[in-house]
Amino acid sequence: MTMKRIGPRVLFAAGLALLLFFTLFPFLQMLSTSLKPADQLFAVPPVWIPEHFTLSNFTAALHHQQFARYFMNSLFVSVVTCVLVIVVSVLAAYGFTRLEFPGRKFLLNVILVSQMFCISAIVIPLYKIVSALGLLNSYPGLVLAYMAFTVPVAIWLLRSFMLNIPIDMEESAMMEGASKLQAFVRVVLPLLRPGIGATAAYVFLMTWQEFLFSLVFMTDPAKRTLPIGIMDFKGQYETNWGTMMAASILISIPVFLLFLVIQRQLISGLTEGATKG
Amino acid sequence: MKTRSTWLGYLLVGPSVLLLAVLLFIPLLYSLQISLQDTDLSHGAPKWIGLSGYVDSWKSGELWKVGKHSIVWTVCVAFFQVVVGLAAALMLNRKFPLRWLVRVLVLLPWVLPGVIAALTWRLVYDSQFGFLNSLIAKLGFGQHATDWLGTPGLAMFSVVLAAIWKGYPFAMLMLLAALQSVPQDQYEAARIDGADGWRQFVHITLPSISGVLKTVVLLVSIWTFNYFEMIYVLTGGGPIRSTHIAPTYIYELSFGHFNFGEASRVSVVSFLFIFLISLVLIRQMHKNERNGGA
Repeated sequence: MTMKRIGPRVLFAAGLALLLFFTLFPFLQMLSTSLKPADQLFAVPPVWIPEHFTLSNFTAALHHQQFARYFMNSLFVSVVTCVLVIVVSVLAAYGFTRLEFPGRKFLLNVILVSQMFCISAIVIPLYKIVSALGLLNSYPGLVLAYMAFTVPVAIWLLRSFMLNIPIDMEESAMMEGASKLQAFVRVVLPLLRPGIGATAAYVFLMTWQEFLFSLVFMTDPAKRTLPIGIMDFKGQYETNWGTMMAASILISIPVFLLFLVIQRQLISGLTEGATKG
Repeated sequence: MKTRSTWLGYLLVGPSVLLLAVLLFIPLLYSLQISLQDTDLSHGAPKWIGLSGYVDSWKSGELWKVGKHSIVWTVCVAFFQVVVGLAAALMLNRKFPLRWLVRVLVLLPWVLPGVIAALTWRLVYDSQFGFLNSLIAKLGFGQHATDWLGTPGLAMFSVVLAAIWKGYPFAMLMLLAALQSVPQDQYEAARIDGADGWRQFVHITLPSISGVLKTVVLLVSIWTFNYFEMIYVLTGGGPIRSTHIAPTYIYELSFGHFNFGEASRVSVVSFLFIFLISLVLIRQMHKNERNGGA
């Protein structure tokens, strides 16, 4: 092989290696710290690959009194948000893609524009409204706030999935005497199922890791969600990095698995939404 | 053909529109109202001061400082996320052994919950236990105990790097999907015409992915501007307020000092800023669509 052919290959391999190193470097520290026994945690300079591995940090994280509770809180809030968002957004996406009514374009634009909302701009008024309604430290308050910024994305995604379902199929079903509702349930919904799955998973990922609203709305420690709860391990004087990194890994695994399952669907929805805006 | 049905249309679209009106648009107006009040606790009960609050905030200099940080933060992070994302997408679009594994691994930062990403970087940047200083030592640049987050001048760089790491896989994913849908025969034709790699990139690849690219730029910019937890966890806005961006400043003002008026003024200004930028970008996108005949 001549230099001309080897040169680009070496460059390519080097670029790829650099990318992987940049991406994985923090994970190396995360994993290494979580597996280190207590006596090695505070070694200076830090050891990259611990001499002995221990799972004690993981058991400590799981035995932390509140960990299970935070987990359940997060799960509850995320699942409820998901279900509500999907119901509301499927209806709206159907309305926007299948029906014609005055103001359709305008309302669609309003919804698309609300994705551009600056979340930090509404945290204060929303906090005041929620506290005036007595909903601070309550799950309905948090779920409502989460719906505010997930519904626009969900409609965007579902609309692009629905645009891909040929309208003729419903028309022929209706020709055979099905009502609009029957056509929707029998024709559109089955085809839309992967799209709904991807959208629901995306909404789940967003709410599962949401931080700002949870921090502001849930001041009662027992009602905290995981992202805020994990700060418990960051003690007042000294952080127990071993347990914290172990807990971090435990929280991240379900999210990562979920994402792997829906990846393909989600990307097609996002990119098509982008070109069919 | 779409069915014409006014009442059913409103019935279906109604709940989401109502939800967004109550949860986004009304709060925004409420924010505007609070921003016209003086709520500084040391000034006694809140009183109506009209627009003069904005003038005072501007004069105090803090607003401008935070604005500057916000712009530096947003532009640097969004720009490099897209550049790194595009480079990664181009690489991962080529065939090589174990490509599927690499594709999965590079997604990790994006899927990682935001707080956890921030906590991990906090550890990486730690002057004693962090791997970054020990990496520098291993590379032969000597033992340092650099405090990456505690040194004014350096902290902004550190938070920006962490944020690029967190968000670039999203740009990569979207751009990779766009790259895969570029028709291959165009490249064949270009190769026959003798176009080199760079020319193919500029004349075929870029135009074909420009729609997705613009959307990515828009989304990434807005997300970055609003990205709260990275800075909140890493530096809390410090040291000496050198990394305060709009969301962390708003949080500090409202829930640290309970000065909701001043916080709302920052909110309103950042809303207008984001709104104008999005408007310009969306306009660009629509122009493109018309030219493309879509």
